[in-house]
Amino acid sequence: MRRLKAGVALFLLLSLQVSIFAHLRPFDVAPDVLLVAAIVGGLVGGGDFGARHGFVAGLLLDLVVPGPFGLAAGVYGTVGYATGLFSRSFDSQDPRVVPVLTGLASFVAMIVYGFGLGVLGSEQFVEWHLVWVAFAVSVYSVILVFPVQTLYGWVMADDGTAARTDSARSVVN
Amino acid sequence: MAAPQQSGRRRVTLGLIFLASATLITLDFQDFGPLGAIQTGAREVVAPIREGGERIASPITGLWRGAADLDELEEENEELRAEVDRLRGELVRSGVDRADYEALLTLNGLELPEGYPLLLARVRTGEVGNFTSGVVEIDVGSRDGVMKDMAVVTAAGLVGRIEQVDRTSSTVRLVSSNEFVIGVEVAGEVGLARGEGSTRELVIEQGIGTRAQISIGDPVTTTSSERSLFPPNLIVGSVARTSVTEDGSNRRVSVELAADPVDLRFVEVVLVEPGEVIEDAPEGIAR
Repeated sequence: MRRLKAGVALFLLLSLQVSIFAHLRPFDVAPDVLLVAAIVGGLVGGGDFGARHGFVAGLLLDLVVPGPFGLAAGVYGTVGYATGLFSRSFDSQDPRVVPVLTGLASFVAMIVYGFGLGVLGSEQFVEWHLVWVAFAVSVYSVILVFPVQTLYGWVMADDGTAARTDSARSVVN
Repeated sequence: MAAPQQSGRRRVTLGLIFLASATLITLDFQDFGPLGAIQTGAREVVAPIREGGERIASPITGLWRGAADLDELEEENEELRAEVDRLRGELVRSGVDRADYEALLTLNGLELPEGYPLLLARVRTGEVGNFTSGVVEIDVGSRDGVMKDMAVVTAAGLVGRIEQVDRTSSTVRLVSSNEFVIGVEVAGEVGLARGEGSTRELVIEQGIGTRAQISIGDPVTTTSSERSLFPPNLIVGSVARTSVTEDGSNRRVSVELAADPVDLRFVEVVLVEPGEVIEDAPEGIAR
Protein backbone atom coordinates (compact mmCIF):
# COMPACT_ATOMS: atom_id res chain seq x y z
CA MET A 1 0.00 0.00 0.00
CA ARG A 2 2.84 2.36 0.88
CA ARG A 3 4.46 1.76 -2.51
CA LEU A 4 1.22 2.59 -4.26
CA LYS A 5 0.81 5.78 -2.24
CA ALA A 6 4.44 6.72 -2.93
CA GLY A 7 3.78 6.19 -6.65
CA VAL A 8 0.67 8.36 -6.51
CA ALA A 9 2.60 11.09 -4.68
CA LEU A 10 5.43 11.01 -7.22
CA PHE A 11 3.03 11.18 -10.17
CA LEU A 12 1.25 14.12 -8.55
CA LEU A 13 4.56 15.92 -8.01
CA LEU A 14 5.71 15.12 -11.57
CA SER A 15 2.46 16.64 -12.87
CA LEU A 16 3.12 19.78 -10.83
CA GLN A 17 6.73 19.91 -12.10
CA VAL A 18 5.81 19.69 -15.80
CA SER A 19 2.79 22.00 -15.57
CA ILE A 20 2.92 24.76 -12.97
CA PHE A 21 6.62 24.74 -12.01
CA ALA A 22 7.75 24.62 -15.64
CA HIS A 23 6.10 28.02 -16.14
CA LEU A 24 6.40 29.74 -12.80
CA ARG A 25 10.13 30.39 -12.82
CA PRO A 26 10.91 33.27 -10.48
CA PHE A 27 14.29 34.79 -11.45
CA ASP A 28 14.36 32.36 -14.39
CA VAL A 29 14.96 29.33 -12.19
CA ALA A 30 12.34 26.61 -11.81
CA PRO A 31 11.69 24.92 -8.45
CA ASP A 32 12.49 21.20 -8.47
CA VAL A 33 9.71 19.49 -6.58
CA LEU A 34 10.93 15.98 -7.50
CA LEU A 35 14.23 16.75 -5.81
CA VAL A 36 12.25 17.83 -2.74
CA ALA A 37 10.42 14.46 -2.94
CA ALA A 38 13.78 12.63 -2.91
CA ILE A 39 14.92 14.63 0.13
CA VAL A 40 11.65 14.16 2.02
CA GLY A 41 11.80 10.44 1.17
CA GLY A 42 15.12 10.28 3.00
CA LEU A 43 13.87 12.40 5.91
CA VAL A 44 10.74 10.37 6.58
CA GLY A 45 11.83 6.91 5.48
CA GLY A 46 15.59 6.78 6.18
CA GLY A 47 18.54 6.14 3.88
CA ASP A 48 17.33 2.97 2.19
CA PHE A 49 13.85 4.28 1.37
CA GLY A 50 15.30 7.71 0.46
CA ALA A 51 17.72 6.12 -2.01
CA ARG A 52 15.05 4.06 -3.76
CA HIS A 53 12.49 6.83 -3.71
CA GLY A 54 15.00 9.43 -4.94
CA PHE A 55 16.06 7.11 -7.74
CA VAL A 56 12.47 6.75 -8.98
CA ALA A 57 11.85 10.52 -8.63
CA GLY A 58 14.98 11.25 -10.69
CA LEU A 59 14.02 8.61 -13.24
CA LEU A 60 10.65 10.32 -13.74
CA LEU A 61 12.43 13.61 -14.36
CA ASP A 62 14.85 11.89 -16.77
CA LEU A 63 11.87 10.61 -18.73
CA VAL A 64 10.57 14.09 -19.53
CA VAL A 65 13.66 16.30 -19.82
CA PRO A 66 16.20 16.23 -22.64
CA GLY A 67 19.62 15.21 -21.34
CA PRO A 68 21.48 12.08 -20.32
CA PHE A 69 18.93 9.51 -19.21
CA GLY A 70 19.74 8.17 -15.74
CA LEU A 71 21.77 11.10 -14.41
CA ALA A 72 18.96 12.65 -12.33
CA ALA A 73 18.04 9.16 -11.10
CA GLY A 74 21.59 8.60 -9.81
CA VAL A 75 21.93 12.07 -8.26
CA TYR A 76 18.48 12.13 -6.63
CA GLY A 77 18.91 8.56 -5.35
CA THR A 78 22.20 9.51 -3.71
CA VAL A 79 20.66 12.67 -2.24
CA GLY A 80 17.76 10.67 -0.80
CA TYR A 81 20.24 8.22 0.72
CA ALA A 82 22.48 10.94 2.16
CA THR A 83 19.55 12.92 3.60
CA GLY A 84 18.21 9.80 5.30
CA LEU A 85 21.63 9.08 6.74
CA PHE A 86 22.37 12.62 7.95
CA SER A 87 18.91 13.25 9.39
CA ARG A 88 19.60 10.48 11.93
CA SER A 89 22.51 12.50 13.32
CA PHE A 90 20.31 15.45 14.32
CA ASP A 91 17.57 16.03 16.85
CA SER A 92 14.39 15.27 14.93
CA GLN A 93 12.41 17.72 17.17
CA ASP A 94 14.59 20.67 16.18
CA PRO A 95 12.53 22.74 13.69
CA ARG A 96 15.69 23.92 11.90
CA VAL A 97 16.79 20.45 10.83
CA VAL A 98 14.35 19.95 7.95
CA PRO A 99 14.83 23.34 6.21
CA VAL A 100 18.61 23.36 6.68
CA LEU A 101 19.06 19.79 5.45
CA THR A 102 16.70 20.43 2.52
CA GLY A 103 18.49 23.63 1.51
CA LEU A 104 21.94 22.01 1.72
CA ALA A 105 20.89 18.81 -0.04
CA SER A 106 19.21 20.77 -2.88
CA PHE A 107 22.25 22.99 -3.35
CA VAL A 108 24.66 20.05 -3.47
CA ALA A 109 22.34 18.04 -5.75
CA MET A 110 22.13 20.87 -8.31
CA ILE A 111 25.90 21.39 -8.30
CA VAL A 112 26.54 17.64 -8.71
CA TYR A 113 23.90 17.40 -11.46
CA GLY A 114 25.42 20.38 -13.31
CA PHE A 115 28.92 18.89 -13.09
CA GLY A 116 27.51 15.53 -14.17
CA LEU A 117 26.12 17.17 -17.30
CA GLY A 118 29.51 18.81 -17.86
CA VAL A 119 31.32 15.47 -17.62
CA LEU A 120 28.81 13.96 -20.05
CA GLY A 121 29.43 16.61 -22.69
CA SER A 122 27.30 19.65 -21.78
CA GLU A 123 30.12 21.90 -20.56
CA GLN A 124 27.97 25.01 -20.91
CA PHE A 125 26.31 24.27 -17.57
CA VAL A 126 29.58 24.29 -15.63
CA GLU A 127 29.87 28.02 -15.03
CA TRP A 128 29.11 30.51 -12.24
CA HIS A 129 25.44 30.59 -13.24
CA LEU A 130 25.20 27.04 -11.88
CA VAL A 131 25.83 28.39 -8.35
CA TRP A 132 22.94 30.85 -8.76
CA VAL A 133 20.64 28.07 -10.05
CA ALA A 134 21.65 25.82 -7.13
CA PHE A 135 21.07 28.63 -4.63
CA ALA A 136 17.63 29.55 -6.05
CA VAL A 137 16.54 25.90 -6.21
CA SER A 138 17.61 25.37 -2.61
CA VAL A 139 15.53 28.40 -1.50
CA TYR A 140 12.46 27.10 -3.38
CA SER A 141 13.05 23.62 -1.91
CA VAL A 142 13.02 25.03 1.62
CA ILE A 143 9.63 26.63 0.87
CA LEU A 144 8.24 23.48 -0.79
CA VAL A 145 9.51 20.95 1.73
CA PHE A 146 6.70 21.57 4.23
CA PRO A 147 3.73 20.83 1.91
CA VAL A 148 5.65 17.87 0.43
CA GLN A 149 6.35 16.59 3.94
CA THR A 150 2.61 16.71 4.67
CA LEU A 151 1.99 14.65 1.53
CA TYR A 152 4.60 12.13 2.66
CA GLY A 153 2.96 11.96 6.07
CA TRP A 154 0.04 10.41 4.18
CA VAL A 155 2.38 8.16 2.17
CA MET A 156 4.15 6.81 5.24
CA ALA A 157 1.02 6.51 7.41
CA ASP A 158 0.45 2.89 8.38
CA ASP A 159 -3.17 2.22 7.41
CA GLY A 160 -3.51 -0.67 9.86
CA THR A 161 -2.24 1.40 12.78
CA ALA A 162 -4.42 4.34 11.79
CA ALA A 163 -7.48 2.10 11.68
CA ARG A 164 -6.62 0.58 15.03
CA THR A 165 -6.11 4.04 16.58
CA ASP A 166 -9.46 5.18 15.23
CA SER A 167 -11.29 2.15 16.66
CA ALA A 168 -9.49 2.60 20.02
CA ARG A 169 -10.60 6.23 20.09
CA SER A 170 -14.20 5.25 19.41
CA VAL A 171 -14.02 2.71 22.29
CA VAL A 172 -12.68 5.39 24.67
CA ASN A 173 -15.39 7.84 23.60
CA MET B 1 23.80 -7.19 14.91
CA ALA B 2 20.80 -5.44 13.33
CA ALA B 3 22.55 -2.10 12.85
CA PRO B 4 25.51 -3.40 10.77
CA GLN B 5 23.06 -5.48 8.71
CA GLN B 6 20.92 -2.42 8.04
CA SER B 7 23.98 -0.35 7.17
CA GLY B 8 25.16 -3.08 4.79
CA ARG B 9 21.75 -3.20 3.11
CA ARG B 10 21.78 0.56 2.62
CA ARG B 11 25.20 0.36 1.00
CA VAL B 12 23.98 -2.35 -1.34
CA THR B 13 21.00 -0.17 -2.29
CA LEU B 14 23.28 2.79 -2.97
CA GLY B 15 25.63 0.60 -5.01
CA LEU B 16 22.72 -0.70 -7.07
CA ILE B 17 21.54 2.85 -7.70
CA PHE B 18 24.98 3.89 -8.98
CA LEU B 19 25.11 0.80 -11.16
CA ALA B 20 21.60 1.33 -12.57
CA SER B 21 22.29 5.01 -13.21
CA ALA B 22 25.59 4.29 -15.01
CA THR B 23 23.93 1.54 -17.07
CA LEU B 24 21.07 3.84 -18.13
CA ILE B 25 23.46 6.66 -19.08
CA THR B 26 25.57 4.24 -21.13
CA LEU B 27 22.49 2.81 -22.90
CA ASP B 28 21.27 6.34 -23.61
CA PHE B 29 24.60 7.33 -25.16
CA GLN B 30 24.46 4.19 -27.30
CA ASP B 31 20.98 5.23 -28.54
CA PHE B 32 19.43 2.07 -27.13
CA GLY B 33 16.06 1.86 -28.92
CA PRO B 34 13.65 0.74 -26.17
CA LEU B 35 14.90 3.51 -23.87
CA GLY B 36 13.97 6.14 -26.46
CA ALA B 37 10.55 4.52 -26.90
CA ILE B 38 9.93 4.62 -23.13
CA GLN B 39 10.95 8.30 -23.00
CA THR B 40 8.68 9.09 -25.94
CA GLY B 41 5.78 7.27 -24.26
CA ALA B 42 6.33 9.12 -20.99
CA ARG B 43 6.42 12.49 -22.72
CA GLU B 44 3.20 11.63 -24.55
CA VAL B 45 1.55 10.78 -21.21
CA VAL B 46 2.52 14.07 -19.59
CA ALA B 47 1.95 16.20 -22.71
CA PRO B 48 -1.73 17.01 -21.88
CA ILE B 49 -0.71 17.90 -18.33
CA ARG B 50 1.99 20.23 -19.68
CA GLU B 51 -0.45 21.89 -22.06
CA GLY B 52 -2.95 22.36 -19.24
CA GLY B 53 -0.24 23.89 -17.08
CA GLU B 54 0.76 26.22 -19.90
CA ARG B 55 -2.84 27.49 -20.20
CA ILE B 56 -3.20 27.99 -16.45
CA ALA B 57 0.20 29.60 -15.95
CA SER B 58 0.43 31.84 -19.01
CA PRO B 59 -1.61 34.78 -17.60
CA ILE B 60 0.43 34.70 -14.39
CA THR B 61 3.80 34.41 -16.15
CA GLY B 62 2.72 37.16 -18.55
CA LEU B 63 2.00 39.46 -15.64
CA TRP B 64 5.29 38.54 -13.94
CA ARG B 65 7.31 39.17 -17.10
CA GLY B 66 5.49 42.41 -17.81
CA ALA B 67 6.24 43.72 -14.35
CA ALA B 68 9.82 42.46 -14.13
CA ASP B 69 11.02 43.34 -17.63
CA LEU B 70 9.06 46.52 -18.39
CA ASP B 71 12.13 48.71 -19.07
CA GLU B 72 13.76 46.01 -21.16
CA LEU B 73 10.56 45.50 -23.17
CA GLU B 74 10.21 49.25 -23.87
CA GLU B 75 13.81 49.39 -25.10
CA GLU B 76 13.27 46.29 -27.23
CA ASN B 77 10.11 47.84 -28.65
CA GLU B 78 12.04 50.94 -29.74
CA GLU B 79 14.72 48.80 -31.40
CA LEU B 80 12.10 46.72 -33.20
CA ARG B 81 10.33 49.83 -34.54
CA ALA B 82 13.62 51.05 -36.01
CA GLU B 83 14.26 47.58 -37.45
CA VAL B 84 10.77 47.47 -39.02
CA ASP B 85 11.38 50.84 -40.72
CA ARG B 86 14.70 49.63 -42.10
CA LEU B 87 13.19 46.34 -43.32
CA ARG B 88 10.29 48.16 -45.02
CA GLY B 89 12.85 50.01 -47.11
CA GLU B 90 14.71 46.80 -47.92
CA LEU B 91 11.46 45.07 -48.83
CA VAL B 92 10.69 47.71 -51.44
CA ARG B 93 14.23 47.42 -52.87
CA SER B 94 14.14 43.59 -52.92
CA GLY B 95 10.70 43.72 -54.59
CA VAL B 96 12.23 45.73 -57.41
CA ASP B 97 15.20 43.31 -57.62
CA ARG B 98 12.87 40.29 -57.63
CA ALA B 99 10.77 41.72 -60.44
CA ASP B 100 13.99 42.20 -62.49
CA TYR B 101 15.10 38.65 -61.61
CA GLU B 102 11.76 37.11 -62.65
CA ALA B 103 11.78 39.14 -65.91
CA LEU B 104 15.28 37.81 -66.66
CA LEU B 105 14.21 34.21 -65.98
CA THR B 106 11.18 34.59 -68.28
CA LEU B 107 13.36 36.18 -70.96
CA ASN B 108 15.68 33.14 -70.83
CA GLY B 109 12.85 30.60 -70.69
CA LEU B 110 13.71 29.48 -67.11
CA GLU B 111 11.38 28.62 -64.24
CA LEU B 112 11.39 30.32 -60.83
CA PRO B 113 12.89 27.92 -58.28
CA GLU B 114 10.49 26.91 -55.51
CA GLY B 115 11.45 27.01 -51.85
CA TYR B 116 11.58 23.99 -49.59
CA PRO B 117 8.35 22.60 -48.12
CA LEU B 118 7.90 24.10 -44.67
CA LEU B 119 5.80 23.21 -41.65
CA LEU B 120 4.84 25.99 -39.25
CA ALA B 121 5.28 25.16 -35.57
CA ARG B 122 4.67 26.99 -32.31
CA VAL B 123 7.45 27.02 -29.72
CA ARG B 124 6.15 25.76 -26.40
CA THR B 125 6.99 27.73 -23.31
CA GLY B 126 7.94 26.25 -19.96
CA GLU B 127 11.10 24.18 -19.82
CA VAL B 128 11.00 21.33 -17.36
CA GLY B 129 13.96 21.73 -15.04
CA ASN B 130 16.87 24.14 -15.15
CA PHE B 131 19.30 22.41 -17.49
CA THR B 132 17.61 22.60 -20.86
CA SER B 133 19.29 25.65 -22.38
CA GLY B 134 20.13 25.12 -26.02
CA VAL B 135 16.87 23.34 -26.81
CA VAL B 136 13.23 24.32 -27.32
CA GLU B 137 10.13 22.22 -27.76
CA ILE B 138 7.75 22.69 -30.70
CA ASP B 139 4.17 21.49 -31.15
CA VAL B 140 4.65 19.32 -34.26
CA GLY B 141 5.89 15.74 -34.33
CA SER B 142 6.09 12.51 -36.29
CA ARG B 143 2.36 12.59 -37.15
CA ASP B 144 3.07 15.85 -39.05
CA GLY B 145 5.96 14.34 -40.99
CA VAL B 146 8.77 15.67 -38.79
CA MET B 147 11.93 13.53 -38.66
CA LYS B 148 15.08 13.59 -36.55
CA ASP B 149 17.81 15.94 -37.91
CA MET B 150 15.48 18.05 -40.07
CA ALA B 151 16.42 21.74 -40.26
CA VAL B 152 14.39 24.33 -38.37
CA VAL B 153 14.26 27.92 -39.66
CA THR B 154 12.59 31.28 -39.24
CA ALA B 155 12.12 33.89 -41.96
CA ALA B 156 15.63 35.16 -41.11
CA GLY B 157 17.47 31.83 -41.39
CA LEU B 158 18.48 28.61 -39.66
CA VAL B 159 17.66 28.33 -35.94
CA GLY B 160 18.25 24.66 -35.20
CA ARG B 161 17.81 20.99 -35.94
CA ILE B 162 15.25 18.45 -34.78
CA GLU B 163 16.88 16.42 -32.03
CA GLN B 164 14.03 14.32 -30.69
CA VAL B 165 10.68 13.50 -32.27
CA ASP B 166 7.54 12.44 -30.43
CA ARG B 167 4.15 11.92 -32.01
CA THR B 168 2.80 15.41 -31.31
CA SER B 169 5.90 17.37 -30.35
CA SER B 170 9.62 17.63 -31.07
CA THR B 171 12.73 18.96 -29.40
CA VAL B 172 14.87 21.40 -31.38
CA ARG B 173 18.60 21.78 -30.69
CA LEU B 174 19.30 25.48 -31.22
CA VAL B 175 22.03 26.58 -33.62
CA SER B 176 23.73 28.58 -30.86
CA SER B 177 24.14 25.56 -28.58
CA ASN B 178 27.69 24.28 -28.33
CA GLU B 179 26.41 20.79 -29.06
CA PHE B 180 25.32 21.97 -32.51
CA VAL B 181 27.67 21.11 -35.39
CA ILE B 182 26.88 21.87 -39.03
CA GLY B 183 28.57 21.80 -42.43
CA VAL B 184 28.52 25.30 -43.96
CA GLU B 185 29.60 27.03 -47.12
CA VAL B 186 31.18 30.48 -47.26
CA ALA B 187 32.69 32.10 -50.35
CA GLY B 188 32.82 28.71 -52.08
CA GLU B 189 34.68 27.05 -49.17
CA VAL B 190 33.14 24.28 -47.08
CA GLY B 191 33.81 24.16 -43.34
CA LEU B 192 32.50 22.72 -40.10
CA ALA B 193 30.77 25.22 -37.81
CA ARG B 194 29.97 24.78 -34.14
CA GLY B 195 27.70 26.72 -31.77
CA GLU B 196 29.52 28.72 -29.13
CA GLY B 197 26.86 28.75 -26.43
CA SER B 198 26.64 32.51 -27.05
CA THR B 199 23.29 33.43 -28.52
CA ARG B 200 24.38 35.07 -31.74
CA GLU B 201 27.50 33.35 -33.09
CA LEU B 202 28.84 30.18 -34.65
CA VAL B 203 32.51 29.46 -35.23
CA ILE B 204 34.07 27.66 -38.19
CA GLU B 205 37.41 26.14 -37.14
CA GLN B 206 37.75 23.22 -39.52
CA GLY B 207 37.83 22.96 -43.28
CA ILE B 208 38.70 26.49 -44.35
CA GLY B 209 42.33 26.99 -45.28
CA THR B 210 44.34 30.13 -44.52
CA ARG B 211 44.43 31.08 -48.21
CA ALA B 212 40.63 31.22 -48.55
CA GLN B 213 39.35 34.60 -49.70
CA ILE B 214 36.76 35.46 -47.08
CA SER B 215 35.52 38.96 -46.30
CA ILE B 216 33.50 40.40 -43.44
CA GLY B 217 29.80 40.24 -44.31
CA ASP B 218 30.06 37.25 -46.70
CA PRO B 219 26.91 35.11 -46.47
CA VAL B 220 27.19 31.70 -44.80
CA THR B 221 24.78 28.99 -45.91
CA THR B 222 24.23 25.28 -45.44
CA THR B 223 26.37 23.24 -47.81
CA SER B 224 25.41 21.08 -50.75
CA SER B 225 27.95 18.45 -49.65
CA GLU B 226 26.54 14.92 -49.87
CA ARG B 227 27.43 14.30 -46.23
CA SER B 228 25.39 17.28 -45.05
CA LEU B 229 22.16 16.48 -43.21
CA PHE B 230 20.53 19.77 -44.17
CA PRO B 231 19.38 20.84 -47.61
CA PRO B 232 21.75 23.36 -49.24
CA ASN B 233 21.45 27.15 -49.35
CA LEU B 234 19.62 27.72 -46.09
CA ILE B 235 20.94 30.99 -44.73
CA VAL B 236 22.92 30.58 -41.53
CA GLY B 237 24.41 34.06 -41.10
CA SER B 238 27.24 36.28 -42.25
CA VAL B 239 30.97 36.48 -41.52
CA ALA B 240 31.64 38.70 -38.51
CA ARG B 241 35.40 38.17 -37.95
CA THR B 242 38.20 36.01 -39.25
CA SER B 243 41.51 34.95 -37.74
CA VAL B 244 43.89 32.01 -37.94
CA THR B 245 43.52 28.96 -35.66
CA GLU B 246 46.15 28.40 -32.93
CA ASP B 247 47.96 25.69 -34.89
CA GLY B 248 47.99 27.95 -37.97
CA SER B 249 46.49 25.32 -40.27
CA ASN B 250 43.01 26.77 -40.72
CA ARG B 251 41.10 30.00 -40.80
CA ARG B 252 38.84 30.63 -37.81
CA VAL B 253 35.67 32.32 -38.98
CA SER B 254 33.11 33.80 -36.57
CA VAL B 255 29.62 33.79 -38.07
CA GLU B 256 26.94 36.16 -36.88
CA LEU B 257 23.65 34.24 -37.01
CA ALA B 258 20.96 35.68 -39.27
CA ALA B 259 18.14 34.44 -37.02
CA ASP B 260 18.00 35.23 -33.32
CA PRO B 261 17.45 31.93 -31.49
CA VAL B 262 16.34 33.72 -28.32
CA ASP B 263 12.70 34.15 -27.37
CA LEU B 264 11.35 32.24 -30.38
CA ARG B 265 7.57 32.07 -30.74
CA PHE B 266 7.07 30.40 -34.13
CA VAL B 267 9.48 28.45 -36.34
CA GLU B 268 9.26 26.37 -39.50
CA VAL B 269 10.50 22.82 -40.00
CA VAL B 270 12.08 22.20 -43.43
CA LEU B 271 10.35 19.00 -44.54
CA VAL B 272 13.30 17.61 -46.45
CA GLU B 273 14.53 14.20 -45.38
CA PRO B 274 17.93 14.53 -43.64
CA GLY B 275 20.77 13.66 -45.99
CA GLU B 276 18.54 13.75 -49.08
CA VAL B 277 20.43 14.91 -52.17
CA ILE B 278 18.81 18.03 -53.62
CA GLU B 279 19.48 18.43 -57.35
CA ASP B 280 18.06 21.92 -57.96
CA ALA B 281 18.34 23.66 -54.63
CA PRO B 282 16.91 27.18 -54.42
CA GLU B 283 19.77 29.70 -54.40
CA GLY B 284 20.45 31.91 -51.38
CA ILE B 285 17.04 31.60 -49.80
CA ALA B 286 16.42 32.54 -46.22
CA ARG B 287 14.30 29.46 -45.80
